[in-house]
Amino acid sequence: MSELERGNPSTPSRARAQHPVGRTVRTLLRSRTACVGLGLVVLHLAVAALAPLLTSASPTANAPDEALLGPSGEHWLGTDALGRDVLTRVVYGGQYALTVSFAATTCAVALGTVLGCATALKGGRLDGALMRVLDAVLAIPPILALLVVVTVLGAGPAVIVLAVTLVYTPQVVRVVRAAALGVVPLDYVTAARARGERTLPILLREVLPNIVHVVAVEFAMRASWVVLLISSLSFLGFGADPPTPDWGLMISENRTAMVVLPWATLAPIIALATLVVGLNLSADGLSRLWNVDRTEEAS
Amino acid sequence: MLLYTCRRLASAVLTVLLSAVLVFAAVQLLPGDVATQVLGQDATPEAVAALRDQMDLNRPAVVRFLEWIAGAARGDFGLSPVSGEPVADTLWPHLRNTMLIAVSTVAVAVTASVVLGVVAGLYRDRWPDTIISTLTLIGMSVPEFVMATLLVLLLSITVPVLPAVVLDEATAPVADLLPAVVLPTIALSVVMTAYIVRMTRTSVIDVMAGEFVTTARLKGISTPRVVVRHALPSALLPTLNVIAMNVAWLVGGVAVVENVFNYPGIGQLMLESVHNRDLPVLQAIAVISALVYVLCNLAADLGAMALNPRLRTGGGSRR
Amino acid sequence: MNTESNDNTGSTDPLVRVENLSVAYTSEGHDVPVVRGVSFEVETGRTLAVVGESGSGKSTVAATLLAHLRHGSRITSGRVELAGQDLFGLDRAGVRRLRAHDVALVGQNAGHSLTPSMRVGAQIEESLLPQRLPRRERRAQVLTLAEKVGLPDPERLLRRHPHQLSGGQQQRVAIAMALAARPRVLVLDEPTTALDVVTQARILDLVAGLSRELGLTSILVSHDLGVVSRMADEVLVMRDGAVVEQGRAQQVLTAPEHPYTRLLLASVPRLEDRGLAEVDQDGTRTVRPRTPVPEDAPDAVSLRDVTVDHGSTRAVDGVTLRLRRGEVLALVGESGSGKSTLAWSLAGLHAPSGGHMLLHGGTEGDLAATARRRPLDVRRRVQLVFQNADTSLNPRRIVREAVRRPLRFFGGRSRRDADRDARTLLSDVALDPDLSGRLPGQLSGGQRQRVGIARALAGDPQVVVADEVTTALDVSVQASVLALLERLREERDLAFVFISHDLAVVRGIADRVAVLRHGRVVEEGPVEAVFSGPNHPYTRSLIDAVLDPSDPSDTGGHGPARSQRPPDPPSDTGDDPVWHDLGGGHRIRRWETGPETARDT
Repeated sequence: MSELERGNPSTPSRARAQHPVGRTVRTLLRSRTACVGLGLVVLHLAVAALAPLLTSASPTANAPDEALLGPSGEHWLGTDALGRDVLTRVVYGGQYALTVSFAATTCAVALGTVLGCATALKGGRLDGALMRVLDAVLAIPPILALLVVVTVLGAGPAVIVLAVTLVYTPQVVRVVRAAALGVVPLDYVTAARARGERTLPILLREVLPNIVHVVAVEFAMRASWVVLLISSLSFLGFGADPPTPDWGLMISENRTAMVVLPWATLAPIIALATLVVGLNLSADGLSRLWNVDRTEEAS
Repeated sequence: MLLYTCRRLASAVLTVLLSAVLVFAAVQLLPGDVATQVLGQDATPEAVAALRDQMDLNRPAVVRFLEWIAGAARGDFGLSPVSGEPVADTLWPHLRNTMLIAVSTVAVAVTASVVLGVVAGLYRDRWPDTIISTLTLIGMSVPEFVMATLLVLLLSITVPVLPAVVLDEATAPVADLLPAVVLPTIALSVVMTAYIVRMTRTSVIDVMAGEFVTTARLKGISTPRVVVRHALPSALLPTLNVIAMNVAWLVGGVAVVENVFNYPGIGQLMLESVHNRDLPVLQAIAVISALVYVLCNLAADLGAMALNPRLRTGGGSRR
Repeated sequence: MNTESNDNTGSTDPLVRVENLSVAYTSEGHDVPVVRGVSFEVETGRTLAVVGESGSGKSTVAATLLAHLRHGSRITSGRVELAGQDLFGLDRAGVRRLRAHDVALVGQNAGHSLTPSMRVGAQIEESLLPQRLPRRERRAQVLTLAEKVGLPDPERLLRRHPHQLSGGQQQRVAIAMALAARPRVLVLDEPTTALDVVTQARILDLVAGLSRELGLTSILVSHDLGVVSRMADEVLVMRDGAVVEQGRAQQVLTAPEHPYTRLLLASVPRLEDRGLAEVDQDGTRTVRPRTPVPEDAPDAVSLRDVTVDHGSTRAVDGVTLRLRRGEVLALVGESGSGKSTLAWSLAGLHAPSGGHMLLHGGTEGDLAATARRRPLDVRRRVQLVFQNADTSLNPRRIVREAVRRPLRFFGGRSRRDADRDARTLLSDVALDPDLSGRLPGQLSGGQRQRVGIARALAGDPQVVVADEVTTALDVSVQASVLALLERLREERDLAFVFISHDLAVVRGIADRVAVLRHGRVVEEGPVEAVFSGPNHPYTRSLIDAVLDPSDPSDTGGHGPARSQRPPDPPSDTGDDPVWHDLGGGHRIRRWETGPETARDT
């Protein structure tokens, strides 16, 4: 057999199949964009989780005699109108947005992935009907849908998670469905169908592993949108309730005093922007990394 | 082609109807009674009963929906239980004001983003691209209310050239509103441009790497000709749909930005209605937003068809 | 290595001269060489063919003649000259002039290389722009060119967009575009690979005729030695970026010196082989005569009046066939003939809309049902092997898992047993079982195709449907995969439905042949009978289109095409209104006599 001896694998690395996790980590390290982005996100998560250890001050206790102070050794970024330390509130401020966003994004991406894969695989009338309904949901602006749900059900975190899931699932379905439609006609899926495998095993074994990268990028992308949406909601007064330290809320509270106390507004803006930049960079880096991989396969 | 257009039109109508059903269902069928929702938990049972009568809540939801949609088709969205006036009367002036912002935003954003996106794509990984991509990233990462707040700080407070807050009524003449349109438009354009630039850039890069562009280059024709005649028609097609999708976002963004400037548009009306629990107004706004979204998508699809010979001459499938 | 230039006595200076050319691309900071020290010369009016298998660097070499390198590649040594001018020393304007006036390219897939948003006429016209003709003259030129490349109804066709043309027409447009520049050198990069065999023959005739007429110097890149022998004066054989042999076409193709060239040539299936050729590593070729299928072999599958519809179009139209145990039935036809649709229906992926399709033998069952409706024991007896080894394996699953899955699915074996059996199956298809931990991306195309075959065998089938399984493979790998299929047939008494467009391959592996056209069988019979004729005109055109690298009528450059005369219908045999029955199972569908309607190429 001539080609047995020649046996030239198309990839340069001759190593045996490495463990998927190890391979993923090594791939990630190749992209500076992805590293910086994920680093920023991890930093935000860490700060939010370790907030009580980072600062001893209370984010909510009023101190009227210390109101509206400029930056000083004691209050690095000054205090707000109620005398609360701005830095402390910024450090705590990620907790609400991160928790709600993470929960909502996870729900939307999970539901969207399942629906997207299923509808791509099943096709036919089910696909047509589902896409029609999702189109109808997409036609309603997210913030409006959110406001309607919040008006009717109240503004608790659980309601917001539910509402965001409802609003963003259709978009995830679109993306995942498109990716899955690229995989479904491939011969290895056809082979599984010819074996007469059921839909669920085909999804889990054949389709999903080949679109995880799309789902991962979508997660990062979607998370950035959700963070923005939830901050907007807080800014408008429909998200976090007033004493809660939350960036969107802080910007809304302090922006009228922006000329006097720029840091009280700028600090949460910077915090929010760096988080979203982090998420966007992660999405960018990841998609570019995996794209590079795909072009390598092709050449 | 005619068949395709008809199918596409039918599907657009169906989508709007479905959205209307969804909105109606969300408002009417969610747990809790609409009348109670409107009046609040501490309303007297008599007041609730009276409002139920006024809103026809005792009749089946299907009948009410059909009546409502029939009215909506004629521009009649019923009475607002809060003000007691026809919803349409408050809606139209606000809608007009928002259209001012929306149209100028789309005009600015589309022009800017296509130019920047094409430049970034053509100069991939060189300095023009780096600058544009960095700005894009920032534009995407700063929420529109922050952008609006910063613009106020810059152009109304530090250098007071434009009004920070609009004091006009919704029914004020357009000329009075024009200065107030500038800042919201800039705030929204920056964010919208950021998204479209990214898509345009990606699309241009994809097409420029394509086989037919290489072939055109190897024919020895000039680079501008390669770009304009061969690459751009294919590269800008996907951008059309991105623009249409962004209009949906725009309606939401307008709500937030109008709030920052106290601009009397749909967004402000929307927030007011949420505060007042004026559900019929919200329904009307939702249906109109859906209509705008669907119309934009329809225009994008038909535009794509006009530009894409594969669709125009048949043999292609929908997206 | 035989890289010294040819001794071309009594000739002028070569028009094209490539000297010690090396090209590398950079991947993660390392230089990966693609072309190593290639030298050759081509004189005016001659055709040089650059031959090699995938990854040999042949296309890279060809592209350097247009001063083009793929993104990320660079020249590490050597030079490329046209009429004494170093092409990589040119400035941008110089490069444009070179491409606009001196060298033109015809690429592999005109479907991809024509701009979809421009009318084809405009694209041809664009190539004329550098000549600064007045508009009217330019238009007239475009029309002349279109006529020259044989586009039917040029006035109308030139106003169309590329997607409205057939593959052959698109390639004709690409040729017209290249000729419009009035180049001195024509670079043809696999110009016919994406085309059907009959179209390929016509395009090759066209190119040969035009180069002779216009006195063009051509560089032809091809993996197909048949094409090369038809077209080339000189041949350059490449492997892994280096030249292994070069010389006059006649000499290289009939008396190759390098073992690799011999191996390549020996691996090409020939029409006159009466069985499968076995090729040794040093290129010796032994044709093993076929052992005939016993007369009393039981049926494995029978089809009666099977029709398959794709929406409103009828892809398969009333096919009646039978397949016996241990027999290879070849389904032959061009793209769109319905052969793949029929295969997919057999495999249970697309239910036929009419007729009967039955499985016989050890397990009996109705094959008209789709896979999920078939009982497990019927389903496992018919297995499919795919054309494209790149997409037939899940890139995220290692080889062992790919083979283990059907073992567990059909056999309900424990994971341990399945692992053991998977290793056995892999060695059965002549793969090193130690490769079982690799991902498909780490295997070569041939290795992947073997995994695909092992996966099909895991169901313990009676019938294997092989859909163009060797089409995407290099010729040397193709020979070994064919040998494998033949061995499996003997060892396991398998029945094969072997789908192919290549009659030379079919000749070697098949016992019986069925030729499909527009969803109908136009000819069916034992392989010997079909290849000795008489034939249906369509079968004849397919047979004539096969290019044999060592066929004396083809060597010597631009030889004339073989006779395209449609065969006369056989003298009346029987009174069947549809079929001519020639006996021995050989039957030909009756056809309208008179001029064959011109095929749309």
